[in-house]
Amino acid sequence: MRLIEDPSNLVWLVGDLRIGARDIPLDVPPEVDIIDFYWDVILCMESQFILDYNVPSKNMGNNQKSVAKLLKNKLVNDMKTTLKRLIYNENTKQYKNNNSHDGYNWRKLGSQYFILYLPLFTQELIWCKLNENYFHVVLPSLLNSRNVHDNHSTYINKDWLLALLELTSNLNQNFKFEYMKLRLYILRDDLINNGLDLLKNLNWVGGKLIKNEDREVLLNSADLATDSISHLLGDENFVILEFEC
Amino acid sequence: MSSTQVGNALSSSTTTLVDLSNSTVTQKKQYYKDGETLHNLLLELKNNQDLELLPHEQAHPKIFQALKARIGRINNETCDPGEENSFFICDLGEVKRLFNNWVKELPRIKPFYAVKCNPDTKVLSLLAELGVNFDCASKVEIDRVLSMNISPDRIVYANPCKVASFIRYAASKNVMKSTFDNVEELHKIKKFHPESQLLLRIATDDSTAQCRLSTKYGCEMENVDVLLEAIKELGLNLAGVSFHVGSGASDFTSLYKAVRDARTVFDKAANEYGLPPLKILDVGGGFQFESFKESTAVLRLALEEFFPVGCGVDIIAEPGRYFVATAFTLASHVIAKRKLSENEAMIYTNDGVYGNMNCILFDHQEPHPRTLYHNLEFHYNDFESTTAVLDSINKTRSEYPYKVSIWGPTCDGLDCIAKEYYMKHDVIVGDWFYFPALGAYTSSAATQFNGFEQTADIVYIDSELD
Repeated sequence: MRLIEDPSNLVWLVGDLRIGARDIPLDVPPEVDIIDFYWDVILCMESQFILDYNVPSKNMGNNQKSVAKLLKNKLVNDMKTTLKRLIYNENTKQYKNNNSHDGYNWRKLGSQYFILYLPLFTQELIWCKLNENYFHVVLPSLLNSRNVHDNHSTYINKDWLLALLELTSNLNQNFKFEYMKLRLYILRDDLINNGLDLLKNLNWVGGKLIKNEDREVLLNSADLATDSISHLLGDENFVILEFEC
Repeated sequence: MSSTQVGNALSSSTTTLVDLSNSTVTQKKQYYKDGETLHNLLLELKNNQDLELLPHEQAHPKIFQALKARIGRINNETCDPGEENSFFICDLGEVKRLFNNWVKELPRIKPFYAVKCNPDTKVLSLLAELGVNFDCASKVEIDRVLSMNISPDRIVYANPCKVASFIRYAASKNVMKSTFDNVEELHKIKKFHPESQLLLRIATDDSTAQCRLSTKYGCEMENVDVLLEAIKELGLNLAGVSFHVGSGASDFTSLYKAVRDARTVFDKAANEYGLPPLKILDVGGGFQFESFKESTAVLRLALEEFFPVGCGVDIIAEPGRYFVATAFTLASHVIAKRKLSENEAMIYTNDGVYGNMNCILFDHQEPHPRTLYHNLEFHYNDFESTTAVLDSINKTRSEYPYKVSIWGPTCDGLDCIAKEYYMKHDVIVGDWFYFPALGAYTSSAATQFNGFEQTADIVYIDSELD
């Protein structure tokens, strides 16, 4: 688990290998259970993919709680399976879903989870996870961000993007993968209102648009895990962009 | 206006031409024309009808023949899955004609083809054979070009958002030429690729371009000193200056001004910072087939004024779409139709924004759908089979009775090819559209679209040989 503060400020420190990001120690009060905190971060990241329309508006609060509980159970199970596999070298399937396609590996459990804080871009926390050579970053809603409305937003765009690219690149610390890939998940409404500038320059910064998963096909296939929460998750709220790093 | 006319206009202008013998001495010159002279010169170019003529026609009979042959082989009743997929016709002969036209109009400028525009291997090989060099923006592109046994000195690495790992990679592959526009990048380069031959990218006025780059990339002229200072301090190798006026510009004054600004940087580097004389001017890209004559006339005019023949500067460019847009024609199949009223419908084809038409989102392109096959007949040669706009005289609703919106195969709201189009034919499921000149910034030639199957076949023809 890593909490990373404002990589944009630290994109470059000459002579220092910590390029693009700074890890800061968690100043957690003793009464807070750190394990609980870690679980919260994992839950927050994974819950970004809960589809709103799957949570009926009636008794919204109760439904959200039950969905959260389902998600938590699923994550606990997945974690258990993963740990067992690691410890006993069991050849168990971590996930049934989507293994045939790299395209949708946001459904896989991350090997590391992150909170990013980029105050020059947004005051919101940014939830991320690392999954093999994919770094998944779910951008928060920018509709209320002060910066997207000012004249310098275009420059800021480049800064935060470069910061994320540098961070992704540096996650490949063992040079295990030939290419690291940054997957940005941008809310559709944001993209239409604020992100078109980025989209229109995507070719120039080496980005690609990734097709969303075909939910209809997936729901009818054997690829999707049978637990009910897997059916409540989806990526269709987002436009997905990918960058090679 | 011919080159001679441009030359005459130039020699009769009040401009102070660059004195070759003194081009690097410590003497400030007023290079640029006054606003009125420049305006008049450019207006003269704009009004010159010769410049509106297209350099050549596409090889329509050959393209039609290839489309017809491919579709003729498909039997709707018995075809295998995938046979009805959209496909491209790529005319390599068109690429050759475009190259010849480049040499004719810009003989002094060495093109570095922007690989990101269309990395099709056959096109890259042909361009390499023709002597074109390459502008790469990523590791994958560098790999692809090097794998074709092309020397790294034929590559310029021009990604405006360079990650440290990319710079390391360029260094490991001996790719020496690289652009930059900020001090942070210089520090990265100093650390990972200190021998790099650097091109300082300056911002241009790209307000008339469809695809604006200077709003994001390029150093403003008032900040050039900071970069030159840093270059000197870090002991880096500044080889030249680059700019990019953006794609789809309608006013080429920006080209003239950018060349003038580049000259200012050349002189500033030598005169104020004592840096070795710069050797490369990179005039970027943004060239389009339709406006090529006009843009190149302005560019020649500017170069003759600020970087005349014999000035000792190599001039390069980063054209992308110019070399591929008109070489590709896309055909797509109508897979669904939703009637909204008697003469109005939503048409769904098997290609769209997430396939080979992502240029709609990323490149401000508006593909022009035309009827290719309807009612058991081919309509390729009816270049007026559809229209985006009606008027009261030439294109009336009675001539184009069918109003449609055209969508890609996904159910995504972004996947819209045309919001409103008018057609002569009441197309139905099983018909075909074609989209001419769709070779730039489509994913047609991507080796692999992030794990997804490549979405279209490419049928190659060579109209110069066949």
